[in-house]
Amino acid sequence: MKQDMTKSVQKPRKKRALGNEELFLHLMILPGMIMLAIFVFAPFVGSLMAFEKYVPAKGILGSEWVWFDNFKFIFSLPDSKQVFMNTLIIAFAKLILNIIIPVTFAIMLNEIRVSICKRTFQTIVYLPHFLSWVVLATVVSNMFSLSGPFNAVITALGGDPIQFMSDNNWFRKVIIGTDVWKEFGYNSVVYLAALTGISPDLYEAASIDGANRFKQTIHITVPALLPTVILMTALNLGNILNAGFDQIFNLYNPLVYETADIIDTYVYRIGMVERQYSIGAAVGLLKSVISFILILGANKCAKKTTGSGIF
Amino acid sequence: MKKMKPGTLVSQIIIWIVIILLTLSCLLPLLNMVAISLSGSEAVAANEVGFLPKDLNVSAYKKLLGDAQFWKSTWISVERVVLGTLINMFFTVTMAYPLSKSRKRFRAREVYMKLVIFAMLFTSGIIPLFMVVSHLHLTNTIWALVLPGAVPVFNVILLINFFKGVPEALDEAARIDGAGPITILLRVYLPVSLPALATVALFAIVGHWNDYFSGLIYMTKASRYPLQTYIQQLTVDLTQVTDANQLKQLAAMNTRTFNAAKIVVSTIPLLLIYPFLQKYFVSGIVIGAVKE
Amino acid sequence: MKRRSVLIFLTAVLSTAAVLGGCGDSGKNSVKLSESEQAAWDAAANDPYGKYPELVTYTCGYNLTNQGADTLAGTPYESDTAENNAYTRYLRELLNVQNENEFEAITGPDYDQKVSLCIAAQSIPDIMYVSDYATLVDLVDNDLIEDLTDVYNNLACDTVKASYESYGSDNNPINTVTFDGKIMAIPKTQLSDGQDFLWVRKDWMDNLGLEEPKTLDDLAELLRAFVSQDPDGNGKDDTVGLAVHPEVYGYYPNNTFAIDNIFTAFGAYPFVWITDENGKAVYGSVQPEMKDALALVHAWYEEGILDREFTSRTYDDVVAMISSGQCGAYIGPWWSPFNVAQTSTYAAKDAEWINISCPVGESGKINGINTKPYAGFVVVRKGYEHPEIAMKIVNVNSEYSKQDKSDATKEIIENQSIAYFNWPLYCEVQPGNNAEIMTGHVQDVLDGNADVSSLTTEEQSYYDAAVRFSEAEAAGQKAESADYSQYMSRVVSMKRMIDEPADFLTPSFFETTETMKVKWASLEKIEMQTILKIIVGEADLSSFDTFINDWNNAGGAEITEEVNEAIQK
Repeated sequence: MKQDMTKSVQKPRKKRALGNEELFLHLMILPGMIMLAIFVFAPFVGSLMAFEKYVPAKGILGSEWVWFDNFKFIFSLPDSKQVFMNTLIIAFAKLILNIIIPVTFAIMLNEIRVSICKRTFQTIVYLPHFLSWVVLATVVSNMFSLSGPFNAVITALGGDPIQFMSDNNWFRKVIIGTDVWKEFGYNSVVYLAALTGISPDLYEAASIDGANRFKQTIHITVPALLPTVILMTALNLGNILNAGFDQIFNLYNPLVYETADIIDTYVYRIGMVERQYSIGAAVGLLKSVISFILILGANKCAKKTTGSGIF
Repeated sequence: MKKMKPGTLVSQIIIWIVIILLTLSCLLPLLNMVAISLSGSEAVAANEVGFLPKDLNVSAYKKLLGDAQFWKSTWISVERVVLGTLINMFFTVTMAYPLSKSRKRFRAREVYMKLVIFAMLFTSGIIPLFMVVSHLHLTNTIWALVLPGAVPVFNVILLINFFKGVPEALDEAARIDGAGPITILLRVYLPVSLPALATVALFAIVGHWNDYFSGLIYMTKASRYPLQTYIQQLTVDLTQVTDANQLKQLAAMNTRTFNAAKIVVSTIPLLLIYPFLQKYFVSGIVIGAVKE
Repeated sequence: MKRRSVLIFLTAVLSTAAVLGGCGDSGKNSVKLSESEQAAWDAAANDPYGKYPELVTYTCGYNLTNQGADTLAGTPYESDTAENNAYTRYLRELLNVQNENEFEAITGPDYDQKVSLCIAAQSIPDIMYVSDYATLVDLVDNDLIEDLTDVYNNLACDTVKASYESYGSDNNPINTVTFDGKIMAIPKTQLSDGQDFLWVRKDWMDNLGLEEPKTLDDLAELLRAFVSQDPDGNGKDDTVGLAVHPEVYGYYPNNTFAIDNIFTAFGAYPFVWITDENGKAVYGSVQPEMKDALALVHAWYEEGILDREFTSRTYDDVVAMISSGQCGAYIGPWWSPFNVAQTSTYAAKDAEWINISCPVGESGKINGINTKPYAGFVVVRKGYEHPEIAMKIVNVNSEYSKQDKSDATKEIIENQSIAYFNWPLYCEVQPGNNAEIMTGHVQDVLDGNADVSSLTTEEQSYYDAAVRFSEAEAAGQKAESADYSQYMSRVVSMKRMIDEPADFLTPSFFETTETMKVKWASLEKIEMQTILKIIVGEADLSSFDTFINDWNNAGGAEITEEVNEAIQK
C-alpha cells in the first residue's frame, strides 16, 4: 500500500514539486484552520462586549455601546496599579521558577540510572498537578499554620512563630513556592522528552575526553535543552498576566490583599456584586493584547539571539 | 556499571537525596488524601488524620462505586478522552507539519502562524462560545466536549518545534527515494518524534480528563456530566447556607471523606496511563540514533 | 402521489413541532377542542389545584443540590432522576404536569450561570427560577417574561397570599416583583433566620463551674476561663477562645462563626444599610459605633481570648478546629447543630452544646439584623400558554404538599431527607416566622397539649427525630447525627429563639445601585483590610477615621446618594 502510494506520487513531480507540496500543505492545514475559525475566531466576535454595557437579554448586537468606558474604568480603580504589579510579580516569579526547577529536576532525574526508581519518582511528582487548589488549600494552610511543621521547625531553632498566611512579607513567597512545588513534576515532562533527544554518542565522546558528569551536564545537556527552555519561556509569557486565580483565591485573605490581590481575584470580586461580563471581557482582551505583544517580542529576541525564532 | 569516581558518588548521593525528598513532598498530600478517604468522618472533621487512616472505614468508596451516575460519568469521560485525544492528535500533527516547514517551502506559513498564535492568546468569553456550540446543536453531545478544543494550539507549537529539529537530511533522503509528503510525514517525521508525540498526547489526555468546566457549560443534564464535572459538583462548598430549607443538605455536609475518595478514584486512571506513555520518553534511542 | 402527501403531512407536523418545540406541550392547540374539552382545560387553568385533562409538559431550569443523586445510591430512590422522582411524580398525579429540564445545575453560581447562558442564547425555558433581582429586572426590561398579575390574583392559594402579607405591607415580597403595577414574578420567600446565638460547650462550662454569660464582659470572662483553665481537662494549654470567621461579619445571620453580634451589641451594624437619626440611609460599616466595637475585638485578639489565627483560617479550618475539641465557643444561627463542628463533637467528644442569648445590647436583648424577605423569583417565558402552572406548583410546594398526609408526601419527605433535590421549581412561600410556628406545633405535641395527628408531614418528621433522639439518649447511647441536628435546632435552640426574642433592625436597602456594581469591590476591599488590620493590631484604631474618608472618596459618598434616591422612589 505504502509503496503504491509512493510510486504514484513520485513520477509526475519533478519541476513543479514545490507548488504541489505547497498545495498539499495548504490542504493539510485546512481542517485545523476551519476548526479554529468556528471555535476560536467566530466566538471572538463576542469580545466586542468589552466595548459595550453587555446585558445578556439584549444580546451582543443589541447592548449599549460604551466604547472605551470599561477600559477607562479598569484603569481608574484606586488599586489597579497595585493589583497589576502583584500580578506581574507573582506571575513572573512563577514563570522563572517554573522553568528552572523543572529543568533542574529533569536533569537530576536523568542522572538516576535505576530505571524502576526513575520511573516511580517521575510518576509520583507529576501527581500534585491533578489535585485542585480547593483541596490543597487545606493542606497548605495546615502546613503553614502556627501549629504546623514549618513553625515547629522555626520554634525549635529558637525563632518566633510566623503567621505565614496573613503576613505580607511571607504570603507571596508561600504562593510562589507552593505553586512551583505543585507543578514542577508536570512541567518537567517536556524537558524529559527533550532529554531523550540528546544522542548518547555525545556523552560517550565527552567521557572519552575525560569530562566528568557535571561537565557533561553543563556542556552537553544544558545547551541541548536550551531551545526547549526558550520555547517554554516564550509560551509561558502568554500567561504573564495570569498569576493563578484558583490558588490565590483559595488561600488569601484581606490582610494580604496588598501583596497578593491579583487582576483575576479583583475582577472576580467585582463580579460578585453583580456579574460584569463587559468588564471581564475588557480585562481578558487587555491581557490577550499584552501577551500577544510579549510573545511576538520574545520571538523577535529569540530570532536575533539564536538565529531561529520560536514560531 | 562502571566504577564511579568519588566525586561522582557524592553527586549521585546528593541527587538521590534531593529527588527522594521532592518525591516524598509530592507523595505525602496524596497519602493524606487516601488516608482521609478511608477514615471515619469525626476524625476527618477534626483534622486528626495524617498519613494513616483513623477509624478505618470504606463506606465512602462503597457509596461512590455503588452510584450509577459515577459509572455513567466515568464512561463519558473515557469516551471523551479517547475521542478527544484522537481528534487532538490529528489536528496537532496536521497543523504542526506544514507549519514546521520553512518559509521557502511554505510561503503562507507566516500568515497561518500568526493566526495560530492569535488563537492561543485571544479567547472569547463563555457566552459567545456557548452560543456557537448551541447553534451547532452540539450541547449535551460528546462533541461539545471535544470539538471546541479540537486544535490544541499550545501542543501544535510544541510539536512544530520538535518537527523543526528533525534533520533536513532525513527529509531530503526520503524525497530522493521518491517519497511523497504523506509518506515522509508517516515514515520519517512521526517515528522520530515519538517522545514529542507522547508528550502532547499526555497533555491532551490530561487536559480532557481533568476539564470540568466544559461539562458544566455544555451539558445541561447532570446525567450527561463527565467525571470531573460530576466530582466538582460534589465538592462545591456550602459555607453559606442561605435559608432554612437547605438544612437538609447540611445534615449530610461532612463530605470530606467522600470527596477525598472521589479525588483518589479519579486520579487512578492518570496514574495508570502515565507509565504507559512514559516509556516513550525515558528511552532516548529513537531520536538519538537519527541525529547525526 | 400518496407518498408525496405523506411527505407533506410529515413536513407540516415536523414544522409545527419545531415551532412549538420550545413550548413543551406540542400539538394540543393545533387540534380543535370540543366545547366540553375546552371547558375542562379552562377549569383546570382557573383552579389553584386543577388537574389538566391531558398531560402538560413544561420546560424548566432545575435546581440541583450538591448532594445530587449520589446519596440516593442504595435507597429505593436510586433510579430517580431530576425528571422522574417522588416530587415530579406527585405533581404529575395531582396536576397532570411534567417537567422537562432545559438545564440542571447546582443552586448558586452554577445555576445562575446557566440562567444567563440561556438568556444570552435567547432561549429561556417555560418556567424557571432566577436567584437575583438584577436578572429579573433585565428580563422585565427586555420583555422576555409573562405578566403574572392575573395568575397571581386568581390562583395564589391562601397560604401563599397570607405568607406574603405576613411580611408587612412595606416589606411584602410582592412589592419587589411589581413593575408598573404588574406582577412579573412569583417571589420565593426568605424565612427570617432569627438572631445569631452564642454557642457554648456546656460540658466545659460545667467543668469550670461557669454561669451562662449575658453581657460582653460576661463573655470575656467565659472566654478567659476557656483559654486559661483547661476546660477539656487534658492537662494541656491547647484551647482557643472564640472562633471567628475570616470574614468577621456580614450576611447576618447565616455566616456561621461571624461575630456580628459583638458589633451589634455596641449598636454598630456593619455590612448593611441602616437609617440614621435624620431618616437618611447610611452604610453601617462606616458609622462611629464601629470604633468601640473594633477597640474591644482588638483588645480580645491581643489578649488571645479570640482565635489568634482567624485571619488565615478558612471556614473548613474553623470547623476542624472546633471538631477537634480545641474550641468551645462560637457565634452562629439557630440551626448550628447541623454543622459538622457540632455533630462530630457530639458523637466523638461528648460535647454538649447550648445556645445562649449573648452578648446582649443595651436593652438586654441580642441585637439582630433582618434579612430581605425574598430569595429569588419564579418567572414564566413570555408567550407561554400555561403561565398558571408556575403558580399552581408554588401552591403545591407551599400549601398542598404540606397539608397532604398521603403516602406520596411521606415518600417525598423521606426522599428529601436523603437528598433535597426533587423540586422542579425551587420556590416555596412561607411566612417569615414559619420555623418558629412549626416548632410551636411540635412543642405542643411533645408537651402533650396536642395530638400527633395535628402535625403536618414536615413537622411530624421533626417530632419523630425528637423522639428518636430522646430514646437514644435515655438508653445511654449517642443518637444519629441527623436526629441530633434536627432535635437540637428545631426544638431546643428554636425554643430559646421563641422565648428570648431579639431586637431586630431592618436594613433600609438590600439591592445594588449603578455605582455599586462597579465600585463596591474596591470599597469592600478597603473596608475588610482596615477592619482586619485594626483587629490584629497592624493598624491603629485611629485609622478607622482615615478609612471613613477613603471610603467616601472612593465612591462611598456617591453610592450613599444613590441608595437614598432609590429608597425615595
